[in-house]
Amino acid sequence: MHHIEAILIRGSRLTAFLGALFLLLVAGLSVADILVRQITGRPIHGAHDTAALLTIVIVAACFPAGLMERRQIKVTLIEAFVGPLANRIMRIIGELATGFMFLCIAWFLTQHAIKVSGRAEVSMILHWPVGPWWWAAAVLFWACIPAQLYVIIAEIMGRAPAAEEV
Amino acid sequence: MEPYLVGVIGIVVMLVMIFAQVPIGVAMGIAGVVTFSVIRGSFEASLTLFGTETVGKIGSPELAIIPLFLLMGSFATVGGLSGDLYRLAQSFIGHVRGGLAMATIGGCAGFGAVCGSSIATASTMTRVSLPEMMSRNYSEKLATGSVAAGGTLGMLIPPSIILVLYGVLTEQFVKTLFVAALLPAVLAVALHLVTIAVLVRRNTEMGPSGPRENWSATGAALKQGWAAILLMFVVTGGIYGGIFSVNESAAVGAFLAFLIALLRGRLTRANFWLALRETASTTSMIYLMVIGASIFTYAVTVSGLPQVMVDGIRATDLPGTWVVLLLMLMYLILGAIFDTISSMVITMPFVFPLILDYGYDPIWWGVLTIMVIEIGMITPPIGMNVFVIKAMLPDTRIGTIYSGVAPFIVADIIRLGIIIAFPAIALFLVDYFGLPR
Amino acid sequence: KELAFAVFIPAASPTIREVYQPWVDWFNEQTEGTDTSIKLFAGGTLGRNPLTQADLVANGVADLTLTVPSYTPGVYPDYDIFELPGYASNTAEGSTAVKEMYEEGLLRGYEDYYMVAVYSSDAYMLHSKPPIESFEDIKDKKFRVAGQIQTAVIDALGGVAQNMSALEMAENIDRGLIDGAMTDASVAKTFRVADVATNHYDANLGILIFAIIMNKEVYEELPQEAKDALAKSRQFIIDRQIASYSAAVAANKEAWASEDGSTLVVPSEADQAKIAEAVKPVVEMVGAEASDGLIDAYSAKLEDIRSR
Ligand code: NA
Ligand code: NA
Repeated sequence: MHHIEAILIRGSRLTAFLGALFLLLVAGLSVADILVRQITGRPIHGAHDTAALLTIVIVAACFPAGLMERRQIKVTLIEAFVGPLANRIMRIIGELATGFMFLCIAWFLTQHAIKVSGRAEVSMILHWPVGPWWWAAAVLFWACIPAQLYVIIAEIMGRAPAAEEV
Repeated sequence: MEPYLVGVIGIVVMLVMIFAQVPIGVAMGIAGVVTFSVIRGSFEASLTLFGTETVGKIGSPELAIIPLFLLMGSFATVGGLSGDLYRLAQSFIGHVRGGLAMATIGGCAGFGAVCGSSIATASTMTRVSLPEMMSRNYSEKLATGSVAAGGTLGMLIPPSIILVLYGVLTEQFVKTLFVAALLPAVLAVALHLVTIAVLVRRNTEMGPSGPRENWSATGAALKQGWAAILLMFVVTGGIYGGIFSVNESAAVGAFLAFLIALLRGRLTRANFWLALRETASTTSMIYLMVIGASIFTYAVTVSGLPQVMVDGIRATDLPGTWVVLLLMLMYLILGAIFDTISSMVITMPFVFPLILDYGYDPIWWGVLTIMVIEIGMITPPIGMNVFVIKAMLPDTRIGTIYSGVAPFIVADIIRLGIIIAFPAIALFLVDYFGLPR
Repeated sequence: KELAFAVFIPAASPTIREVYQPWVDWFNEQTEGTDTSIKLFAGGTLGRNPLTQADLVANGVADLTLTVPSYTPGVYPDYDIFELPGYASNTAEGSTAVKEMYEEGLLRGYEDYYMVAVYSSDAYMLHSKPPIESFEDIKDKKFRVAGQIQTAVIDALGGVAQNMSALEMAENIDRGLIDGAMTDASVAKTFRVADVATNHYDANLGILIFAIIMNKEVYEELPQEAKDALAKSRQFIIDRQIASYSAAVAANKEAWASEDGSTLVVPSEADQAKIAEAVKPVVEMVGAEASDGLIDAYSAKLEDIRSR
């Protein structure tokens, strides 16, 4: 359990870190695009395309760690009014529901990736194939499944979320 | 069964799930899919909503502004800009009675202009200004109350994550919303300052005055604060001055905040890691919520419930003002229970059609909505800003913070009344600049 | 059964008011007495993303939907030909041509759907803040475009193509981020482009195709009255579209030509020749991807339409 936990935590955090790093890259690209546009009167060829495609993967990369940290927005109003067992059951149900939703998302995102690849959709300017980007997003959502499975098991066993450490 | 009744049951199911501690995005998503499948008679078809909505949202350029503004806020925090802004405000008004609390409001407002979130503003300012106030014998109530209340400025003062979200959900121009929020934000700052002045006048002990800073100290604060001012100037100037689009201003802001943190040597490996991880984590939280909300909105729309509601409320012959006041009351109650983004996305599917039907301005309504749900950030039992401060101050009683923030809630409700009575405060600049609606 | 008709364009737009809603009302009248009716969900309430509209119907989330073939580059190469400059010069020609070519089985794509209606916008023009009086004036000016072919056309004309959402274009022209936009005369008005870009270069730069498609399985199960009504719908919608759109376009152009502060320039014959020459590579590129001889068939169809 500890071993798997360590792998999942490291893996998901690294993914999130890389996602945000690419976000910073997109920001930098945007700055470069503005500068080039101001100086030469023309934007960087394909900057828009690149940013749009990268964004898909960046956002998808944020989810596994988000799940591992169990930081979704919840209303814990009745937590104080019911017993610990009821609380635990509710939390387990909540995590199961989350797992179900992510399973559906991963499945249908894969279908979308298959469809987009199959019809050879390309980006507007650079004519890059769009399919691989959606495949990457689908893979990232599949990576959410073991993460959420872990959370469900941890919740059943009554373990708290992984502590914040840097 | 009438579809709209299915819609009503769907809302009840969603609320039950939310109160059972299911994450709000998940509760909305699942309740939406189930409602949709009952109305349309196909569970298989409605499950695909999970796919189409996720595709739509993670590929949306409008929503991509949110992670960028989050990134800017993270780097601004790491780069120590909040401290600079606080000291700058302090050097101007620190010497008056309650001056440090006022400087806190000023610092919050300044930081709000480079950060899109209320929680981030409250938490950084807690770190920066609370120790100063405590060391000058400020009452715990005033100190924590002013940070909690000041934090709410973070999302009223542009850039604001929640205004972006409102714009995306209701198809309004984000820039127009930002401009509309400007004067109400000024009013908010003014009323908060007045509140502090009144409080310390009635009870001098609450916030003793500090020493008057000389000009060289002000100069030093200015010199230290140049980076924060530059960032504010570039981001707001970019948005309002027409050098780049709102999307680009978010990108420029994020990159510039990164550069500032880097050049100041604040960007240790740990800080860098933290800033990026924080951004990623909040991004996933917000997107999950938006995906769920969007699925739920489908279901509610297909059920025809908004139309039934609009017709029903119309039939009562209630004047529009009453409808607005009742909605405000509803948001105040919701704000007590839900966090801000939740109460907005949960209610948007029925409230927005109603407001349009009554002929109210969607931009004005956006500002009003942000203001009323931002009050929810500081009202019990669930006041996110209060929680954040409490989490950072283990020894302070939560009741102390809530009683400290109470006078500010009064001020906020007065401001709400002013904006309802005088919509021009929100719309004047929009009309003046001839912005698209 | 109540059929859900998903439309991503704003509920307040003239097309909804003057084409879709009247058609839905007409259809429901025709099918009175059966349990089949259509309900319109405008403004993207069943899905905002213009790119995934066809999926809504394929998945069964909606029964009918409005799609724009050119929004998904590479998927409907035969429909790309309509975006080429110098062919259909207004919505009547474009709509008639695309409808008849579809019915003649010349256009690949959408085989998995029942095509309720297919029609076109009016011809694209250049709307810009700085005046464009001649072909040379296009050079280095930045235009908002949507899609692959529009991008290629603007590039070929010497301009700079910029992709952004339709909602942003007026704002960005106003701030000088871009010089103008390539849209038809109606869109320029509804998206407020004409408020900020007051110079209009009416150069017949291509048309945008819209298709209303229906889930085939749903179609098969409809009662005969509904199928009969749908069979008449294609013409019904085109007639409505041409009537309302042509009037709007004519009124807008009239206003631009006469009002102070705005200009309407129709390129000279020499300039038209220059445009045709410049976009030749784009025509070749599109022709290579499309079915063999499709562009020639399109030209022939237009000649036929004009001679009626
Ligand atoms: Na802000
Ligand atoms: Na609250």
